[in-house]
Amino acid sequence: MMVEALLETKDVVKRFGGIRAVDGVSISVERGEIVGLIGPNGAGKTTLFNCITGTYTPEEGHIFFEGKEITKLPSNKIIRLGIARTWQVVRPFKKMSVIDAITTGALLRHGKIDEAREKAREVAQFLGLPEEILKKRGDEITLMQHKLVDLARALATEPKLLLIDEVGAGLRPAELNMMIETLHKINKERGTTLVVVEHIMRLVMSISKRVIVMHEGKVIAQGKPEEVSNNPQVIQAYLGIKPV
Amino acid sequence: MISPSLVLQNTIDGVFLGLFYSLVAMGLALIFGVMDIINFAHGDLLMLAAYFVWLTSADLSVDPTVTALLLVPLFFLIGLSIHYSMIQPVLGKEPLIQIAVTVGLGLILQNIALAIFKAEPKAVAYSLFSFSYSIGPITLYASKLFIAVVSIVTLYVLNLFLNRTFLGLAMKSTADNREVAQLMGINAKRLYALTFGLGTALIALSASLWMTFGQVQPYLGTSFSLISWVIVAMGGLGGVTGVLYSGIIVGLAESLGSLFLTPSARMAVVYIVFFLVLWFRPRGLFGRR
Amino acid sequence: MRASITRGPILEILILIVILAIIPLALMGNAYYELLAATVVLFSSMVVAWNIIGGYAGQLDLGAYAYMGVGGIVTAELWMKAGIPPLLGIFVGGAVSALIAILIGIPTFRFGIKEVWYALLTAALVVIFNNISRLLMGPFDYYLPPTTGFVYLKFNSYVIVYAIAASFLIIAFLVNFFVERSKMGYYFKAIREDELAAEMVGIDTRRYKLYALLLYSFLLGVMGYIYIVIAASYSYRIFDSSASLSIAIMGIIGGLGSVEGGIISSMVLRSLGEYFRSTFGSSLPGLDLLLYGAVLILIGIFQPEGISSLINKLLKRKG
Ligand SMILES: Nc1ncnc2c1ncn2[C@@H]1O[C@H](COP(=O)(O)OP(=O)(O)OP(=O)(O)O)[C@@H](O)[C@H]1O
Ligand SMILES: [Mg+2]
Repeated sequence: MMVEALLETKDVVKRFGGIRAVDGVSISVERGEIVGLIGPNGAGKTTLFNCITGTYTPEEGHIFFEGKEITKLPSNKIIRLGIARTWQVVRPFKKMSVIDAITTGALLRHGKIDEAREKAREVAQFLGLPEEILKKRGDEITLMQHKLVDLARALATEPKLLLIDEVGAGLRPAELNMMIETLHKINKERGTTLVVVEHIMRLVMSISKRVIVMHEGKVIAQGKPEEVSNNPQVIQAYLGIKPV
Repeated sequence: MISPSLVLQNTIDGVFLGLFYSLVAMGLALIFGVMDIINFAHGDLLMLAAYFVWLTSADLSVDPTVTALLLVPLFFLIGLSIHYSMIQPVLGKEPLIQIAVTVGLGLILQNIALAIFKAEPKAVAYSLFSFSYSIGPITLYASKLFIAVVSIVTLYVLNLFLNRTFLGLAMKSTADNREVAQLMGINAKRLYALTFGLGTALIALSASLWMTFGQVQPYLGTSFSLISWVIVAMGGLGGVTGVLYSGIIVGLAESLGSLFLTPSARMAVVYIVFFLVLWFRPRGLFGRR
Repeated sequence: MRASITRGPILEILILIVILAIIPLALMGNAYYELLAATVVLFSSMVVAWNIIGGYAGQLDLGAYAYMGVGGIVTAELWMKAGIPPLLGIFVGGAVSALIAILIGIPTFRFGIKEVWYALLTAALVVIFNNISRLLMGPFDYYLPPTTGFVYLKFNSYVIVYAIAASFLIIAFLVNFFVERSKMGYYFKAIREDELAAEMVGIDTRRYKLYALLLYSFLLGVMGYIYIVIAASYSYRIFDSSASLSIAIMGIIGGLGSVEGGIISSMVLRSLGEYFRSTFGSSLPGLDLLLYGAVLILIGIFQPEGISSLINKLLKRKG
């Protein structure tokens, strides 16, 4: 018997006016892996995430999570099933304290405030957020801390699958190294499956065993990082957009 | 019961009124679409302009419509100064804060007007257009016909402006997609100021038209603000045509509502139409988004 | 942790009760001032109730007087037409208000619909009720029967009317207090901060916005009858657009999500407004509203988090 994939998309199409932002994408993600999702600007990576999390409803195709169809479910139901995400641009709860923001995530599976707070603390500690940050407000922290808080808030919902959108953008090299380590740790110690959208090749190549390449809404290649980076179609997609 | 000719009369009046409402709402639609600013003082600016019309047309003994020549540029400048003093600081802030500031502006305008002019409504004594034609049982008021025609022409010119000139295209594309507009190298700051100025200038034109048959009192703005917002909501950011059609729907709802129910319930009818639109077509009737 | 949670409200409530108890003493039996104090305190309770929907959940509700008026009129009519004592009737009034509010909330709280439509619809609601009730009730003032007694929540002494208004303030305060420390409170704030991000931690944003609306409109519906008791009569004019707006104004000036800020702003500004009205009412009507407008602009531009954050800053600087 075939092992059922954690996430599977079948011929997903999402249009904006005339643009087919996602154009018949079929991918599958296995339990426990870290998948890199790359592609030039405007390839449709973020839009695909938005389709999976129910922010957009695709016009065509189907999305399955643990074998259950989630294509037309509202976001909050999809999240409850065990998917979480972060954004390209951080979306903090600015006027809430950091610990309150993370607690909001934890409340999904822990109805009692005290338990949720405990869970939030545990996640914060796991990600290495120092205690004094937790009391600060969302508008008083640095970009790296913001990214960690977004991650913590998502992790606090205890997802099986975490979709991460350009977590490396804007980070300094040292911070980037820490982030890579953190992602590894999330995957190893919590068993969370990760799909990582990234432009910074160093990050993608060093954490993912498998990479999916999108271009103009379509999947143009997938495989091991070194195979993909030598694929002429991939090279052309990148060069075509950004002559370096 | 209600005679067919009365229904026809009210339908015609409703369409004329609706065309005028479209003009009133157009400035707001522009400001909201381009700047994403929620302006609740829109109607109160119209009220202010209407008092200016009343004053100048009495002082200079000219027709209210002539005052537009003076007031449109003046209100462009007033719009600019309001923009730089109050709107710029709250651009991109939460909607609640934007509403707070513009509601504050509206309250100040209303109550200054109340202090200076008192509560009694003021009307212009004479207008070139205070005559009417009768065609069978139907009466056509020249002022309303004139207003409808000017509104349509203005909206048409505005449509040309938005589609043919660089500035207009910049406004339109910013309304469509902020990021793309920025990539095109549009200077957002200047564009916003001009948009607010233009939106406010359009209000002055509406006010000079309104005063050919209407009255002004300090609270005139409240109903115009709400009506304009209803039109913008129904137009669904669908550009000039969206505003035009929504304006006509609102005008008809008001006019027929006051015929079939009672004049005092006409606003209730407008809002109930609005409520139904929000319920069934939350993105507006004519919107693309 | 547990201890601080239980100690918190007791201390704050005690302070509030002491302040509320001092006010009538300071008025020394002047009936006019007692009635005025009741008006201000009831106004304050409406602002505190508004904080649930506006301050925590971030939905700009401008329809306070619609819910308040409907609740009040339903209660009064139930008494006069069906003999149901207001002590019971206020709950029916609250329920009717909540029902109407929910009808407004269902279409406008769908995800991705701009906040401004909700503000508009609630502002329109006050006008709609004004028009409709004028059709149904005519332009007349309806007076409550002269009967007094606890089950009618009607008394000969203005101090007791004041005490009733004050207890509504305390109730509204307590509701806020428990909401803020509940799962609902966290969810409301998340929705206020970023609705999309809130959806993405699994919050059914529409449902939670409806919860906030339900609590708020019920409280206001219940308060409506006390408003009528203070005014001694009611008419279609209870649906007053600018008064309705001022509830949200006080909430914003006080600081979104700050109950204390809302109480301070509503009490200070409303009292000041009443003073202006009684002193300059004939020569400069509307001076009170002019004041609100000016404060609103200043707060919006310079202190968007309201006077509560201003006070916090001042305290920090001292401490
Ligand atoms: N809400 C939207 N409305 C209209 N077009 C959109 C919208 N979101 C995305 N698009 C378009 O869809 C296409 C794919 O965009 P998407 O953001 O998914 O790309 P991406 O791969 O995430 O790019 P990047 O690496 O720059 O983040 C682009 O052409 C974009 O302009
Ligand atoms: Mg992207």
